Amino acid sequence: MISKENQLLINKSLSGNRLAQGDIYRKYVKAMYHIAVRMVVQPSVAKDLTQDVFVKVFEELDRFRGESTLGAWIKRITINVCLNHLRRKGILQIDEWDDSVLQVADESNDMIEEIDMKVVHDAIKSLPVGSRTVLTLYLLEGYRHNEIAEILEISVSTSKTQYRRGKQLLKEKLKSIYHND
Amino acid sequence: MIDLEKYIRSHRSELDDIEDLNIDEMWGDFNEQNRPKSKRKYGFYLAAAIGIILIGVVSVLSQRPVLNQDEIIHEKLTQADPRLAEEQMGLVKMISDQGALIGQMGIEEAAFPELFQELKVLDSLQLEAMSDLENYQDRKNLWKTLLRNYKSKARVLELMIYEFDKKENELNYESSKQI
Repeated sequence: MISKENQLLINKSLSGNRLAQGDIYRKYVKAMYHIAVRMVVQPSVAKDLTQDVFVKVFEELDRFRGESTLGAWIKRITINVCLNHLRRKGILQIDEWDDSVLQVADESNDMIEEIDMKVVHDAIKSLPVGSRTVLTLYLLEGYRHNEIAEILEISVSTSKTQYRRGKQLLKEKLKSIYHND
Repeated sequence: MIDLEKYIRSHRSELDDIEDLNIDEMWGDFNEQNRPKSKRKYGFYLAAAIGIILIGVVSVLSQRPVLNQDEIIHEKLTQADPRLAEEQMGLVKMISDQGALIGQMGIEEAAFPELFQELKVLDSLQLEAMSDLENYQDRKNLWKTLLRNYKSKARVLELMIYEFDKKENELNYESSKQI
């Protein structure tokens, strides 16, 4: 799972080579920051958490066994750091959501042909924390609902309804943005 | 009409490059935040670099006593593996004796610039390994690296003595032939 380039960077980083650590940092920091900012919304908090992520990455690099790619391993750390932050702040409270309240309009796909991904990014940030977190983990980071349920300590059905809710809200936001243009 | 899920998934990578981020500045901040560790490390390197010049060249010639860095390594090895610590002390003594002998023989850097250069490289490798020891005291391969560096240094010094002896013998032979 580890590329030769990353293996070399890891080995050098483990022996305290600051340049190699800098290379790993530069390679992944942007993606990790974007995950963080979608999860915690405030850029300054996301930056701080991203720094925490890399402190952890270099502290725990010798535990990286190569069972996933280095990027996927760092991404998991990023998500954990962000979730812990949201929990510590008491922000991450996900209510059991009654699926029946979701409007049928959700299933319609009357979206415009092309969407600017910056608009999607900003729209995700504006979602309520519960559906934003589930939507981020499921749609963007590739987690399954049972994994999300375990991570967030919610039921699988709550994960699914939070996701549907998030998707519906996201569509509504995008429609309102594009239809107003 | 588009399927939002599919659309977002197919454009997922674009979401990692939306907001402006000054990566160099962030890396600078990261280093700054971790200053105690880094500073100590680089401060140590600086002090050690000066030490290398004095140690690698001067001490060999002027029979300086056992180096402080050896004592630090010994202390750490004693905590980690007394057997390796004992081996290290043996190597340190050997190197010290070789240094003393080189001093007595009057060997100068100009005579063996490549070997002296190799000694400097070995000293810098030792410092690098020592720095790693600060962070990863439980890493056995680092202890082995430290001991390997000692052994390499002893071999270089041995070679220096051997080559010097050989040259001396050749000179003596040439002068005896002339007589």
